[in-house]
Amino acid sequence: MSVKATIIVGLEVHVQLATETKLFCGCATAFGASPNTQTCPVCIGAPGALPVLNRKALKLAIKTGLALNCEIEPNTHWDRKNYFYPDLPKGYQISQFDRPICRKGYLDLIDPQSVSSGRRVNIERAHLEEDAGKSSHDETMQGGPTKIDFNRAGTPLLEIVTQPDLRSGHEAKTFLNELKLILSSLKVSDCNMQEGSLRVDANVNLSLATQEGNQATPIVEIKNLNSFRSVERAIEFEAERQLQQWNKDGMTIDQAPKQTRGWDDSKGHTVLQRIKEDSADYRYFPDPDLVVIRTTQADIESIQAEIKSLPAERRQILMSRYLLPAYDADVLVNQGDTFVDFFETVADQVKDGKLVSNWLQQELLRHLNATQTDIQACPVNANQFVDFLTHIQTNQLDSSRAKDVFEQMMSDSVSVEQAMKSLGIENLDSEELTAICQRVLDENPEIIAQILKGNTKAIGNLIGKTKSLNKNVSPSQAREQILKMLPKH
Amino acid sequence: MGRSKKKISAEHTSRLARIELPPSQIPVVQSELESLLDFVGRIEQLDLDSVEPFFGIAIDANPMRTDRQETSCDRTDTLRNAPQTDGESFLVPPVFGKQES
Ligand SMILES: [Zn+2]
Repeated sequence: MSVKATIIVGLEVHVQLATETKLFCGCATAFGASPNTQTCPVCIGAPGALPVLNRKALKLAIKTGLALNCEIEPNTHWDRKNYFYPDLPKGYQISQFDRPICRKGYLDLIDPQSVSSGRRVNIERAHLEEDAGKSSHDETMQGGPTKIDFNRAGTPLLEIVTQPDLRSGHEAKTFLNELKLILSSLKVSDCNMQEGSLRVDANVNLSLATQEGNQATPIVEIKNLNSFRSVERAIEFEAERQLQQWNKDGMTIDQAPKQTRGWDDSKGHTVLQRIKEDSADYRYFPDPDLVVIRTTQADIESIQAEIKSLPAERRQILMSRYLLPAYDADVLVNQGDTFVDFFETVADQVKDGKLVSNWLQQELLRHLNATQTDIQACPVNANQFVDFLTHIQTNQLDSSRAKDVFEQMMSDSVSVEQAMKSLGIENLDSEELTAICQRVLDENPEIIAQILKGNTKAIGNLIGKTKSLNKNVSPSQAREQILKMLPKH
Repeated sequence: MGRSKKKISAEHTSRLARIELPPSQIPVVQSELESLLDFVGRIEQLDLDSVEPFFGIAIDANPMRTDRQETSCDRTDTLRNAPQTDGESFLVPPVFGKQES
């Protein structure tokens, strides 16, 4: 049977906020400390300990909300989400239920190479909550005890929830890339997925256009997504699996409860974990230990003023002011703010955005990736790069040698002059060039004859010969000189 | 906007709260819970549509702390009351049993 299936995806993204200390106590949030050394009565849930909100966490949440075009709740408050698990010391998580700090925002997808570009993804809410501790299960599966480390317990998280507006794994990945760029640009989070600073769950089902009208498959929440690539693959896999399942049993969203499935990246499939508890079972209620937090318009305005150009705006500027194609603008902006700053500094002086963009994309990025260097630690600074490109523009450096010179600059961290010197590149004066060309013409009458017969390509042979006489010969200058000196018909 | 009149289940609630309730006690607790809810439910007789929800008296107080690190507890103290530890972590009965791999 053939039905038209549309993938419906909503994302829940947990972002660990870049604070020094936890959401409700002064314990450090640094990753990798020895177990249970960053704990206190508040974050291990000792009776009588009272939480006090971290001002910076609230500010980072509001900043993110503003960047995602959200409304900021003027009177936000805290709720207890009750459940039992060994890594949750209080028996409840302090979270936000009915008055999240941010609501009703959106993010536009940007992907110049895809039809999805420009599609709007609505953000339902973004709320603050504390993280749980970390459980390490007995890896041998011999039934040994589970180890609990509360260093992570109480770390501030911002949970960003989208509407089910995404329509493919690729769109989900595009959304996440853009979100990560924004979060990094705002310095709201280090977004390190390996260390769990960015965690993504995807809710996936299918909308099926059948002869009996539109139907939907049961919703599946996918967990264990440890890279954006996994998110993309897991969604595509799940869509296929749900279609097959629907063909088998025809179960719709009303006939089966929500499932949680884990993504196995090596096997490339999802595995059933559990049937989702009803959200009412968490018995949310306002936390009596914490008071309402009031955010005024003035607070919002002062945070808004700290937000500089966001990635979408930077792409626009690269296209309008530096005349870059959308593709180039996207590649540069995807490298982060420091990279774009570097580009703009260089392009402002070189006055040829496309030339700068080509060198950054092809050579600089390749070198940085190969040496796993960040642009901050780039061995060639912006002024040296300007100097290098100016040498090319003014023909002081021939484009045939430019890549070698650039490599030399990068590997030795030297100026263009120093690099040219160490490669033995000097500019020939016109007398020297004329002499070399004359010698080549004298020694190769048969090639000249070919050229005069109309085989203009043979001139390349002559240029090659000038270069083998002196490697500092610029092919373009040699061509010009030879054309001048060729006997006329 | 009236609260939904879904009946509370003492059995379900005790399971969520991990409170063991002998079968003989279920009807007793059930009726106690219902009378508690009835008492609180009296507020629904009032027309409160134009009244903002009330979350506390300390509005505008905004007590917050600066994001500055304070000294955490000594781990020995943190682990002191744990039924079982390995000196670094709390140890709890396995979350995943032998069978469920
Ligand atoms: Zn603490």
